[in-house]
Amino acid sequence: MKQFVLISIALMMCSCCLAASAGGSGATGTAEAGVQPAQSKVGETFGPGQFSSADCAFTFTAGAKNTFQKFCVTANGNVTVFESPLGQEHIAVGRDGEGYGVCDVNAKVAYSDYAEFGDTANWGQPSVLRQEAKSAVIARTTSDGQWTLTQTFTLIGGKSPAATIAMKLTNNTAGDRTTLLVRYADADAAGLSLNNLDATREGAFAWNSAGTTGQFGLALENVGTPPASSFRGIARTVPEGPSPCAPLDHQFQGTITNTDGSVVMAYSLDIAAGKSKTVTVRYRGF
Amino acid sequence: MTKNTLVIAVLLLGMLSFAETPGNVTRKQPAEAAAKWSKENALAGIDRNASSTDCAFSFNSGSGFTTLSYCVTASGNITKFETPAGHPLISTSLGEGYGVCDASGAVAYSDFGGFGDSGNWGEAKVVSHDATSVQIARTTGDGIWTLTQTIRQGTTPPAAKIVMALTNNSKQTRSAFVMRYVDVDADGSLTNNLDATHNSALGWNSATGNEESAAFGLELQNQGTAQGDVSTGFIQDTPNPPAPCDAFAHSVQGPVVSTDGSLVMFYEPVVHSHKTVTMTTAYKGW
Repeated sequence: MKQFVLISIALMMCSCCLAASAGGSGATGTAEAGVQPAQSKVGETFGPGQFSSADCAFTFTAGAKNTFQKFCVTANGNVTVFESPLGQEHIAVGRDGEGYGVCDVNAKVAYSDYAEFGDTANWGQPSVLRQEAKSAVIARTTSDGQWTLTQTFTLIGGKSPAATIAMKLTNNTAGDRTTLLVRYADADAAGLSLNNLDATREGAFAWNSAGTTGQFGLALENVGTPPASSFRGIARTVPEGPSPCAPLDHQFQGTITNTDGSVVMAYSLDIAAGKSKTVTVRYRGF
Repeated sequence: MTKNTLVIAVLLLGMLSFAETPGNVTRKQPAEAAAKWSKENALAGIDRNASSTDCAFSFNSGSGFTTLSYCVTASGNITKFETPAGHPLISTSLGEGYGVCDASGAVAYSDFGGFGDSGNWGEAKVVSHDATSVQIARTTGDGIWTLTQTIRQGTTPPAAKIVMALTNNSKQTRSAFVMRYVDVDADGSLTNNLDATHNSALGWNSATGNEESAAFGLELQNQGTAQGDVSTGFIQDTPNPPAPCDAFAHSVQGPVVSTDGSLVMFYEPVVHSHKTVTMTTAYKGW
């Protein structure tokens, strides 16, 4: 029954959320309705926080050929390049959309930063807490001071390379809060905007089938057992990021084909006053 | 067969598929019943070798969503794979295993667990065994090939890693087709969604509304760079294993939905006299 918590909260919030994701209009559509032309940076309107950048601040690289992986992280903590294996890049196509969103369910306030798909303009400046050869830690507090998101990006090498992102969300308020925390990517598997997409309990995926052009994929997966009352992967029919308070908008239940969509991991977290909870996700090629 | 030939074969065979494609109306219960009847008939005529189906080595790790439980038979088949707890991913047909086609001599050797073996293998020998791994060597009855499998528990993420080392014992260089196969039944459901990429073959149930508890899947993944980078994942619209020397006869173009199918990772090594070529695959939850 916990599975329904996220759905219930999202349904409850979707009509009253105060912040909207950039370009996130329209009802959940069919696979055909989700097909859109290739993205363009020209003439597009960004979200309220138009200074969210896709510029790489930290770049991590490991492996070779089929075990090659490169990803980069912006100053704000967005992963705007993810390449694995060599020559197969899955995010940096057209507008680079990747990032994080927080919905304060109690206060009905949303905070998000989706790189070139905009931010909600209610975040403070990020601070780099640590940078090492295989990891970087970036903290960012909302401008109202209510929440701090501390993200740890780690390069995992070896035969099955990945980029893990530990997202530690701290409730700075004096009251217990319920939140939705989302990780999102505008997936363009192997550099192609139109992909197959689907989701399971533990992940959301975009890929091109074997025997077709660009037969590789991007997986956004949960790692470990999260301290969440519910969580799930979501495959979406649009490339834009979700409203953090309505992450199920534009989801498609089942396998989507030939669609410029996006992938999301969503968590429902109950966080006591002054406490933190951490969930970890992973990007990997497949 | 070259890599391009492989791609063309997959494309052509995909046109002959009778599996359901996304967008078709899902008829889960009748499809399940029909798949069960069909699989029972297929298995009825098979003389099962107990050494290829009974669990000889069991491995358990993790807790919560990282729980992994799998077992390996004396012949090196993985007939149980469950992650997280309570979500079995391999069929009760116990169909899992390996096939080798000596492309030089057009001789097939296989052991597909519950779907039987080719009857031309020698006895399997346990080379080593500890808490997290087992190594099993087996030579073909004609003495030409030795397949040494090292099956090791992976914990981050939970996985069963299978290193298949194929040794050519003859005095001449030989070409081979090598494959790992599994009759996937994600979360115990016979009918699943299926697709493949260059590096993976996948069977899963989508995250959809009230069925989230079944929204799990199995990934059969290539790890590392195969010899000449010649490898591919593919799916079949049948739970039955492939014929090693005609491996693509039942391959289909994905994605397909509501289908009782199977997953294959395929390699084409050239093995010089008295040399060994290694291929690494892994089973993971998806």
